[in-house]
Order: sequence, then C-alpha cells, then structure tokens
Amino acid sequence: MPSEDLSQFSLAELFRMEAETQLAALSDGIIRLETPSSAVLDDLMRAAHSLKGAARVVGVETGVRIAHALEDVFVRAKADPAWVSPSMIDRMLSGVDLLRRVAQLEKKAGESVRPEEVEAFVTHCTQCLERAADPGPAALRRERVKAADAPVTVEQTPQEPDQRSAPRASAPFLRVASANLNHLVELAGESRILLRQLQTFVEEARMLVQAQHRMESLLGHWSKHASIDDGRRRTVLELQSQWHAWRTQSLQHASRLQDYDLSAGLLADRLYSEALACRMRPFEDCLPALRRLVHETGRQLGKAVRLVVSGESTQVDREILERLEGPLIHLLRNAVDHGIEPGNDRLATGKAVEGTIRLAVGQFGGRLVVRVEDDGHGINPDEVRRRAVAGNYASAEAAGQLSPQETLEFIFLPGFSLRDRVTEVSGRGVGLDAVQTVIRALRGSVRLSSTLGQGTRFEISVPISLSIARCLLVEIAGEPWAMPLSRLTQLLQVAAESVESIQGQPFIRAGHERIGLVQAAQLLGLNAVPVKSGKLSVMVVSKGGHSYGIVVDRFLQQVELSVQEMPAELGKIRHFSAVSVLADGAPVLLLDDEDLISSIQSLVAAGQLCTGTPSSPARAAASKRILVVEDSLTVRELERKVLTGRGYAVETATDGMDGWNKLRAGDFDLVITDVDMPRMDGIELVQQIRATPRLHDLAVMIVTYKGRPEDRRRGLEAGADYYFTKSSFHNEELVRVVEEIIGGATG
Amino acid sequence: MERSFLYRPIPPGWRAEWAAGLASPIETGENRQTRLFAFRLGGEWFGVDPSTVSEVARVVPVRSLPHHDPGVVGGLVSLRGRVVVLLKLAEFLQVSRREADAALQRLLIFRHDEWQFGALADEAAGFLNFPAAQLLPVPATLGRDDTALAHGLFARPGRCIIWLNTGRLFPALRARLAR
Repeated sequence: MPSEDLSQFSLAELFRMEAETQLAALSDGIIRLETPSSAVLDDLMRAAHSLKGAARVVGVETGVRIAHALEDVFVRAKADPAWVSPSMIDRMLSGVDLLRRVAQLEKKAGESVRPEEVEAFVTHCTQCLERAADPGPAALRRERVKAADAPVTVEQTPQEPDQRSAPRASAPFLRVASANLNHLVELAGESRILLRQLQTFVEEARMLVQAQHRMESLLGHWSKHASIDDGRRRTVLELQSQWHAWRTQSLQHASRLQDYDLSAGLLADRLYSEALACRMRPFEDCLPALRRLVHETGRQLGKAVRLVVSGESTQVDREILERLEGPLIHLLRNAVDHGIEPGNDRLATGKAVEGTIRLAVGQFGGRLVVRVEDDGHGINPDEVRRRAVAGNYASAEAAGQLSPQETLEFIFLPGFSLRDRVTEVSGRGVGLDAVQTVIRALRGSVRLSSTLGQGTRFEISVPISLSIARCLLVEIAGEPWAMPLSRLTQLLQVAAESVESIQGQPFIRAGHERIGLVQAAQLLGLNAVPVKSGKLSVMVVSKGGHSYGIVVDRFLQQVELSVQEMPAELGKIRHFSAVSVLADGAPVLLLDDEDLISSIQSLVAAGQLCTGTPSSPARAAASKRILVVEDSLTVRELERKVLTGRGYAVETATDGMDGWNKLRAGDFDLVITDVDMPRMDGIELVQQIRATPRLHDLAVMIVTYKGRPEDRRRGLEAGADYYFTKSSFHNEELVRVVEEIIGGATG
Repeated sequence: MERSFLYRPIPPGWRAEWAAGLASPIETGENRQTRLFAFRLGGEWFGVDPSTVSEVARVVPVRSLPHHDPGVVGGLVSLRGRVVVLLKLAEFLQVSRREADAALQRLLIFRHDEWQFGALADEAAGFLNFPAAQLLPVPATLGRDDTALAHGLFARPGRCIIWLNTGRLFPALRARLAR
C-alpha cells in the first residue's frame, strides 16, 4: 500500500502493521522449508531483516533479538537448505509466535513475553548454529555487531516501549484522513457559533416575560380603579389572572430555553475541544526514531552517549510533531558529533565517559518547548568570532563588539560551520539555518546557549497547535483583525501627547527604548479612522533587535481562533498569514508580523511613513466629515461603519431635527439623510439646508426605500445632490457614490 | 425557520410551463431534457449543470481582502465555519449589474473538482428542465467574448437562459485568480 497516506499513524502502529505482514510471510515461508528451497530462504531472510529493523526503530528490543536470531538461522540455512530439520521448523515457528506476542498482535489479556522465553529461544538458535559443522557467516557478523553495540546505551523511559503499547492495543485505532479530521473541527466550530445564537432567543423570551409582567400589573392597577363598576372589575381581574397564568408559562418556557442553551453550549464546546484533541499526539511518538539516531550516531563515532528524555507524554499537534522531527534529528546528531567529546577527552576533564543528552519536552505558557542539552565541551565564542571574521560574516571590529550570546547567533547563518572537516555526520554548514527556517515556519523560535566546558543547550519554542492561535482582536479602519499573541512583544496604550517625533517620524518611549510608530491602516492600505479618545493603542512587534509600534484604532479582545489556511487559489496575500471565523460567523484575517515589519522597513526606507498619528488634529481635520441622519439604528450604524471604514469622520443624528441641530453646530462635507423620519423629515431637512446661505453648497445625499420616480423627483427638487434607493444598498455602492460626490476621505 | 427562504413569487408563465412539461410525452431519445440550475446575474439568466452547485445559501457578511487585486475576487465568506473565496461572477461574465433586491439575493457555492468558491446571484430559480433539442447557439452579436464559456441558450418567453459551460468557465476563473 505505498500510495496510502500513513502519516497519521504513530511508529508503534506502523510497526504493528508491518509486523502483521512480515509475520504472515515468516510463518508461511518456514512451513514451506519442509521442502528445502533457497528462494524461500531469501524471502525469509528479507522478512526477518525488515522486522528486525522495524522493531529497532520503535525500540522493541525483544523483537530485535528474536528477529535477529531467526535471521541468523536463515542465513546459515541459505548455505545448505537441507540443514533445516523438522524440529528446527517447529522452533522457528515458536519464534514467530513469540514475535506475534511481542508485537501485540494478539490481545490476550495479561500475557506478556517473559525475558526467559526470549532467552530460551535465542539460546536454542545459537546452539543450532554451533552444532552445525561450519560456523555460518551470520554468527560472525553478529559477534561484530555486539562489539560495536557495547559502548552505547540508550536509556529507556520508565516504561518499556512494548509494554507502553499494550493499553493502546486494547483500544482499536481507526484510520481517518486528516482532511476529514479538519472538516470535523470546522463543523464543530460552526456548531459552536450556531448554538451561541440561542442566547438571542433566551433574551427574547425574557423580554416577552417582562412585557407580560408589565401588562399584568397594569391590569392590577386598573382593577383597583375606583371608577369602574363591579362587573367590569371582575372581567379585569379575570383577565389579570389569565395574564398571570400566561406569564408563568412564559417564564417556564424561558428558563427551559436557558437550560437548553446552557447544556447545548457546553456540549458544543466539548465537541469542539474533543475534535481538536483528535489532532494531538503524545511527543513520544517521535522518540523511537530519535533514540535510534542517537544510538547509531554514537556507535558510528565511537562515542558512548545516553539519551535522557522527560515530558514525553506532552500532547502535541500531529502536524507540529511531524515538522519538528527534522530539526530534532539535526540537533541530536549535532549534539553527539559536535557536543559530546570523545571518551578519553571526557575522562581527562573529569567527566563520565558516557556523554548525556537531555531531551526535555513540556508546555509552557501555551507553547510547546523542546530543549536539547548536551554535557559536552560547549561552544567557544572566540572560535565562533574568529570563524565569523574569517568567513566574512562580520568585520573584526563588529565581531569584537558582540556579546558571547550574540556571537553564538552566527552558527544559525547559512554556510556557517565550526568544523574544518566535513564528516558523514555533520560539519557541512548546512543545517542549523535549516532548523531555524523550519521552526520559524511553525511560528516558533529557537534559542541557543552554551557554557564552555559544560555543554550546549538549544531551546525550541513552537505553538502547541497550528490549528489554534491565541490572538488579540484589534480594530483597524473600523474592522476587526486578528494578531497572533505569540508575535506581540508588548501592548501599549499611550496618551497622544506622549508621541514625539524625530525628523518627522513619530515615536514613543517605552522604558529606555524608542519605538517608532506606524499606522496599521497605512500598512494595510486602508483609510485611517480618526480616533476620538486621546489614547493610542499600540501593538509592539520586534525583529532583529528593532521594535516597531503599530497603531490600531483600538484593542477589542483576546480570542482563541481556529486557524485555516488562506484559500490556496489566492496564493500568499501580503500581510496575512491565515484566516479564521469569529464567533459571529464573520471571517477574520490573521496579521502576519513578518510581512508587517518588512513593510514598515520599506516605508521607512522610502521615507513614506505617514507621520501623523491618528489623533493628531491635523490628521483629524484632513478627514472629510459626514453627517448621517437616519432614524433606523441598524441603517445608521451600518452607514457609519462603512464610511468610517473608508476613513471618513462620521457623525450621526436620529432624525431631521437632530440632524439640523448638528449641522448648525458643526462643519460637514456631506449630509446623508433618510426621508421618512419623525419630527423633521429628510425632504424638509434638505429644504432647510438649501435655504441657509452658509450651508448652501453643502453636498446632500438622500438614502431611502422610496424608489418611485415621483419620490426621486421630489427629493432632487428639494435640492439633494444624489438620490440613493436602499433596495440597492451595497456598501461598495454607497462608498462609490460618496466618493463621487465629495472624493476620498482625505483627498 | 423562516419560510421565505424557499418561497418566491411564482414567475409569470410558470403554471403554463409546468402544465406543458407535465403534458409532454415521456422522455425518449428525441425529447431528452436538459436539467439546469438557473440563477440571475443583473438582468441575465444563466444555467449550470446542477452537479456543480453544492449549496445555495443566504447572503452572509463578506470580508474584503486588502492588497488583493480586486479583479474577480469579491472577498471571503464563511460557510459553516469554512472560509470560502467569493468570486465576482457577474463582473467576470461582464454582466451589467442593476439595482438588486436584497431579499432575492443568494450565495451560490460552486464546486469544481476539489475547488469550491462562492458567487452572489441576484436571484436563484432552482432547477429547470429544457428540451435538449431546443438548445440555440449563443448569438455572436452578444458582444461578449464569452461564447466559448457557454454551451448555448434556451429561449423562453420573456427570458433567455444561457447554459454555461462550467468545464471551461471554472478553469478560466481559476486561471484569472492565479494571475
């Protein structure tokens, strides 16, 4: 099944799958040995060898031993197929059964393979081989392998890997395509959003109860009224008691609805987190390959190395785990090769012969932190400095000024190597920069620290899941955007007066640092909205030791978003890393800090940084001012939002009279008015405007449902510049017309 | 659930159309029917193979994409938690928009191979049957370069329905996106 996607299975599961196939081939082949055949032996050798390799990868040492013993017998038999006796066939079959139990293919409760069973089998195989007149080449080979194995021990985690897989075997696995899983997460997220709307119904039901309560007390007052006769009083009292019954019923209904909302909400939340949990795997799933790597690299280099692992049960997103494996392999190989000294050197410096590499995994502050630490000779900053200068990475002067920590950063540069000699293991200068690239792509970071003579430590920090991002929702140009919290250095709210400026470039002081400011709206190519309050909301992002302050309209809230990739067909869109859906079902874009920083840098370089801060009076005055006169709250707010989003300064009025008052008090570039409104309607308002000399040239636009030609004529005759029918109300259309009449927000 | 989602005023001639349809002889090779999903963009009606429409939904809030060439991309919409690209199909087909009735507007979700995208229709009429033999060529006088994007048209009293060749249209849209 080469085309099948097996990526969602752990190594232990893959081993079980492979064992199933190979063991079937072994039983079949061994039985066929009753008729000696060289071809069958070839198949058997291959099967035993593959199984041995697979067992080694997952760290099932008993499996390795049994398969190895079998392989030796097959190799010997290959030289003389007739050598195989019927009793040997039985023995070999018992070995296959043993392997079947080791691989947990049969779920017999409480039955685990005892070490003496394995020993007995291996001893028997060895005896068979020794009894043979000519010691086969395999036996020799095994001796050699044993010798090479000697200096290396790989520390087992408290549980034996094969025992660890025991409880798993009892819970059957299902193969699920990752696309299905992602879809499940999306649907669970959607159900959460949908169920949240139940709250609206609960609210409505409560309002109904309140209205009934008011009606009931009104009837109560009426029944006590002196002027009504007894007959009517009785009717009113009856009505009141009936109303009371209705209210009680409504109340019950409302509270049932509330209970339902609560439990449905909880259920949806649980469903969502369970669906997300399906994507998680324990870190230990990638351990067998890492253990084997340390083991083999150590053997290859003749170094005794111990790998100590902690926190292996930490749950990690499957995708992150897969992508971390490459960098970890690299760091571990480096640690064995570069970090750990040869045994004699270690003894000379008073260290144990055996080197130790510690791999610590854990969750800290919502992130996965993986530490790779060796107790080797450490990295000499002077040596790094010397090579950095020799390799033209830095001038001698610049390198001399760097701190030891800063100097170490050179080893992450492409092509930088501390080795003169390229070995098969490492020293090509390819790698650490690749490690950093992979980690950055995972929205993570890698830090290096080293103490000369005592060891080197790499610390990788990545998000626990790629599908969930903790974000800060911010408002830019009237719309919400999400900024991943992990990319924020700090958040500041500063008084507009505290903004200083050097050569026209605004900045603020935070501690000893000066942080240059840039408007988010400018970066995103949106029209900035003048901020009324005297406070600036600033997101601080950093790169390469430089901090930049991105000014947003305001901070909204912190949210946990289920992240989706940008639709592939759109390609990479500048300034955005991903997309998500907010609780109200509206899509939201996740800001990409790297893109934002590079845009800031190019703006600064080109001298195009918009120097005004959003609240500076010059900026506010530059925005065209619009008065929206509209009695419907929804339409009013919609228009305000759309226009504010385009950078216009918008004021609102609830009817013609209110509008007229505001017009006389303020200075506007455009009035957008409805027609049907209480107190003073839109047509009267337009007539008033046109009759006032000061406002004679003020642009006026009518927005109404009345689309009949005679309505339109009436509006235009009153003096409106534009008559806009609401049935054609499209945000874009409104903005287009406004721009047509008064131009852009700041034009 | 609001009922009006599935309810529309009966268009003129609808009863007669159905009566004629029901009265017509049972389908044989000659009177084979073409079944289309019909929708309106601006003043023009279009039809597509029903299998290409995966969903018809109410219009949802559209999120615009700054910095993105406005060409055919109308923005992003969320459909049951999944973010879908909204394409300006009317603009692509060079249909002149006119004042739209928001109550009739629908969000159509099209599916082509594994690709899914949304488009706003000014009205969705649902599935309609047309006698295959009555397919007419798209007149060259249409003045648009999209004759290749249509199989032909079915003429009805008062309206023509252009049968879109989605096998060409969708890849053409996709190619425009990739630009």
